Amino acid sequence: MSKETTGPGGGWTRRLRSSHIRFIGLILLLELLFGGALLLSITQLVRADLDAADSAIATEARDTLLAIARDEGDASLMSAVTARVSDDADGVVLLVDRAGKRIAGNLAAWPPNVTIGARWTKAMLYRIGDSAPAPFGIAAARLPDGRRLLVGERTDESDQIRQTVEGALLTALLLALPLAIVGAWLAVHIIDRRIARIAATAAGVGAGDIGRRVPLDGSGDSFDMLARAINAMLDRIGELLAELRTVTDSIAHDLRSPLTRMRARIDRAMETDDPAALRAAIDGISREADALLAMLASALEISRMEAGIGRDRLVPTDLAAMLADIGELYEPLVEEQGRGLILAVVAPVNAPVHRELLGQALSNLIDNALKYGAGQVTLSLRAEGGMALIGVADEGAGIPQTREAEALRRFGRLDSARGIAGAGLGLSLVAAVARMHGGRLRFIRRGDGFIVEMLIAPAG
Amino acid sequence: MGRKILLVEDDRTTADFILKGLAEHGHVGDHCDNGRDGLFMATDGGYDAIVLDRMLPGMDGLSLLGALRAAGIETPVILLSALGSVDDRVTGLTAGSDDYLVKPFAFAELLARLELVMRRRGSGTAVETALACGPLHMDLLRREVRRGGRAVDLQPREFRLLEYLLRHAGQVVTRTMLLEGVWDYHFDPGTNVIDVHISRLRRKIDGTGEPPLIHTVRGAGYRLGE
Repeated sequence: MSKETTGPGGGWTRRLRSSHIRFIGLILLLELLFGGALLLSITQLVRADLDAADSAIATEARDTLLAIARDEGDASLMSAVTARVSDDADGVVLLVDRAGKRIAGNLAAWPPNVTIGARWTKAMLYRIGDSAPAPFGIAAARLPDGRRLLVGERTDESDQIRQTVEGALLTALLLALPLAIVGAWLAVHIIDRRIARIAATAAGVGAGDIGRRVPLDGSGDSFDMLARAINAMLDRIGELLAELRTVTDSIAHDLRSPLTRMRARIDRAMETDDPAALRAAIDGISREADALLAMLASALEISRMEAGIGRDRLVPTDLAAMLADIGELYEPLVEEQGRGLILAVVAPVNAPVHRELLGQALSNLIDNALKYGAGQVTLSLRAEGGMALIGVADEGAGIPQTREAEALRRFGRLDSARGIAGAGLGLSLVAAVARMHGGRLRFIRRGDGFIVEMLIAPAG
Repeated sequence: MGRKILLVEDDRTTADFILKGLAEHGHVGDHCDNGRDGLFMATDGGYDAIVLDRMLPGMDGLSLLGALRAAGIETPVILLSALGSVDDRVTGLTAGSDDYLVKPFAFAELLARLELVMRRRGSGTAVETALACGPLHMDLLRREVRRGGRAVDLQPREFRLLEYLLRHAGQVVTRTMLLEGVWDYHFDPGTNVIDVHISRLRRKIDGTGEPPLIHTVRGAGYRLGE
């Protein structure tokens, strides 16, 4: 039993871990942060703006009274103060003497929180004759003779505006919350649908529908990129499967004939009592078995190479020395058949190679030249266009051009070769070795013979 | 002289085949069929050699080998495996085995390789300057070979081939062992390349009228001896 399904809290924690919830949560959080920042900055701006207006009104009124006191004298100031009390219903004005005693105005006493020098003060004031305190924006000043003057204007209206703005913004934010949830859910849903399409394809392929591919919308976005990558991977898997099928079919087909031969030999051996015949039969069976094993080993080696296994075992090698080694190994065999082996190294080349597999490939090529070719066998090494070229040539007619593809096919054997022992894997193994070394195989026909050439890429 | 050999192999048929062969050649074979017991026995059994299957229940062959070598036990090990590719072989050898044999194999091949690894461990590191087998003498410093009073003129590779045979005189060496030991290749040459080399060497060593020194061992390989 898995851990997630046990305990009452298990389901919840799992759901919280789900990317849906996290995604929606993230969008909500961002929306809240953004809305909060917006609310804060707008209210700050509005407040500053309203305060500036209120402060301008109060300071202007104070400065007017100060100017009257300075320019027109005390009597004018007194009448202006009185006029302000009677004319401006929303205003406040107070003139006190040096001891703080009221001289004129509609306030009973100097409010303790209003100081001279401050540019502007906000305060709740209780005017004479009012039934309730009200908010005022106040500017104060000291006259040259020591008296103090306080002038103000009600700010109810600005407060009202501010509250309205704040309320509207908060409402907008609250309204945006469900919208954000819906938006987040929609986003998750869109992502979900596209992922689900990819998952459905993967599941389909997993269930055996190998031909299925993720539909592309051509937008080139990240989902499209993912879909392309997955399709490319599925194509490769498809190719490998097709190849595997060919190989297993061919193996099954090609195993049948030697196995049948072996079976027949065993049957015959079981009927005979002659020890010599028995011995010969067992020898024959043993040879068939060896051939089968060699064939299987080659088929596996090719498949491994095609799958890219062994590329990490390439070692820088002196190809001329290696060719000399292989030539020396085969020379007695070639000479025993009354033919000659020539080593023609045009340019010494060093290249990273898989020594064993390249050795096997060369061995296969020489073997082919001995079995199917004629005349001298020439091992050549040269460099051309940045590639190392290893050639095995003989003086025979070689593979006809029209039959090249057939000869390269795994288990492919030309009719002319049917009578000679072999599994038909020789050339395809050579081709696989060349491909593994970043190169390829090519055939050259000349008047005096046939060359199979392996192109090997140098380092890099 | 019988040797004590541990066989770790889970396939009963293969195990019986090997144990029977070992007994026929006078060796004592202990068998166990899983990796854990195998490690236990290999650690304190005092064996002369271990034949180790690569795929085992309990603990796979490579892990067993790793644990053994980590414990400082240097008993020669031959890995048996159905994994026959070149890379599997290299992996096996780098993991600390002394030799690697791909299933299926001929018992003669296993026996020849067992004797080789056991002798290699036993012989120490003394530098030899001369090798001999009966009337055949090889001077490794002067690169000269004589059979009785007759000087034998050998090509460099023939010299190395004979040197290999002399170093394993009396033992069976298989064609793959020769390809590995003399040419340092492990691939399957498919044809009788080695046989031709041997027959050339044989023509030079075993002159007309002389008793043959290079013997063909049916189904296995060659043996140098009187």
